[in-house]
Amino acid sequence: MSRSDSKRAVPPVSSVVMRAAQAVVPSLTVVVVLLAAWQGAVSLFAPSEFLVPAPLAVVHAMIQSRHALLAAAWMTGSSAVLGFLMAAVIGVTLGSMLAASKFLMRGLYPIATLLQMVPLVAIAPLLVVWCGYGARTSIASAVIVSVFPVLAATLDGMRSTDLGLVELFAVNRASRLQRWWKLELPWAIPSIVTGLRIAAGLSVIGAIVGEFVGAFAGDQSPVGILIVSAIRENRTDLVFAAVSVAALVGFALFGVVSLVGWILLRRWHASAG
Amino acid sequence: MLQRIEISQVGRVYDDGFVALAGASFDIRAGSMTVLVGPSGCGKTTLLRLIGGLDHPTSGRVIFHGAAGALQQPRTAFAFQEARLLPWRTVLDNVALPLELAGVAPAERIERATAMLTRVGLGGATRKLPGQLSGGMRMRASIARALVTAPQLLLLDEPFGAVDEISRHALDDLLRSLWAELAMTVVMVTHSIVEATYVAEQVVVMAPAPGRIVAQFTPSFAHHSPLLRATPEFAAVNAEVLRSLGEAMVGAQR
Repeated sequence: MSRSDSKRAVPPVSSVVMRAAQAVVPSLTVVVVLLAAWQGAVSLFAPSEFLVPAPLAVVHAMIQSRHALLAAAWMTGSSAVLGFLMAAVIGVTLGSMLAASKFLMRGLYPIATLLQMVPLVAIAPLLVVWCGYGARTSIASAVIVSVFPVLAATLDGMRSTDLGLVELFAVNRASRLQRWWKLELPWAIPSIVTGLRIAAGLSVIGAIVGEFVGAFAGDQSPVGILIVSAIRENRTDLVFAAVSVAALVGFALFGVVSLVGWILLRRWHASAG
Repeated sequence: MLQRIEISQVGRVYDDGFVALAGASFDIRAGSMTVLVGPSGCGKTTLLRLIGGLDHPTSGRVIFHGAAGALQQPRTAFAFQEARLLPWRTVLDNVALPLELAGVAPAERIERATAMLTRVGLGGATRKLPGQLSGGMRMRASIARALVTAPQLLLLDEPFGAVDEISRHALDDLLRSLWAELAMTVVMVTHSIVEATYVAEQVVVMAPAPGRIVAQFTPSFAHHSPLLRATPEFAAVNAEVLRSLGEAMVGAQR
């Protein structure tokens, strides 16, 4: 078997894993180098642990508080995932409606854009008024911050539908619903997946902002409350640990969305040759 | 049953005043193969779209005459210059699309689409995606999709314009054999005079500024085979079509 033959023989999934590994290795290297530099700087200049804890101190805090951190990751992750899923459904539905109606687009899209400009932290206290203390406020906050990228991506994707294909559907007397389901929605999937990837990261941010104002400490606390509590106790190492957990939750959600996106887009990639 | 299509003083003027087509008149016999040929901007695609109902004339009428003088809208299918296949669907699912949109049951549409793909020489490519096909294969799939509904009228807008010359000859032969087999009326637009002369029963020559019909020919060859293109008989008819087009173009420039 020649070298080019063996390259062609690699199954697509393995090839994707290889490409993912190639993409991850440089990032991991940079992270390791930065952590080593951080640890070295803390050892050399010995700043107050309250100001900048050493990475090893953060790892120690993570191990020590692992049960609380795992519970926090689960609570915040649940709010973020629920908020993300609701944002996905609302965003795709609204995006489809706006793409279908010029009147709705001209009437609603500027308002949606304007609402997107309002800082989430400014309206978060209102969410407590409307949703009460607890997970509902975090979920609502996650929905608000992540719905717009999905809406905008759906709208852009559907509006870019190939006019030749629209004409093909017209020639075959397709109904409006058939055109949406069999043409516009599949056509918009690459764009929607991009919007969902952005929304995945934002939903975790939204959930934590919601927790800052609307969650309460109990036997188990979400990441937002854990951060606030750790600040009050001057436990900067635990703040860093909680932030790292939040980043990992966001990264995991982003990874799952990217994987689902890759599965959905396999046919596009194959069709692109 | 469609008897003939009457193109009666059909004109199309766009909103900006551009005259795409001025008073075109001719008849298309049911079951015939008519080719509209001419340079860019002569209104041949406009005329095809008017016949297919994708656009409406600003003057004149397109009349579909049925049996005993009754008017009849034929079952019509289009194939465009680009294959227009949905990239996420297999070739089979693309070809079955018109049947799916018409509500035909899955088993029947798969059977009919598979049969049509086999007929156009794509029986082995049913599970492939459009991006995995050559240009000629994509056009075959496009033709199969147009034919899967068993249309009475097939409208082709420069369907083979984007494929290489050798594939184009093969596709012209395929089109003629499908036309003979399926007993449908075909109206095709092309830039190629050789293609028009080869496939058509009736060649309608058009010229631009404004778009109009300048001549009609009815090529008739004793033996229709791929070698026909290399015969003096074919060259003579081809030259006649070319001359009429050349004269019209020179007249338009004066």
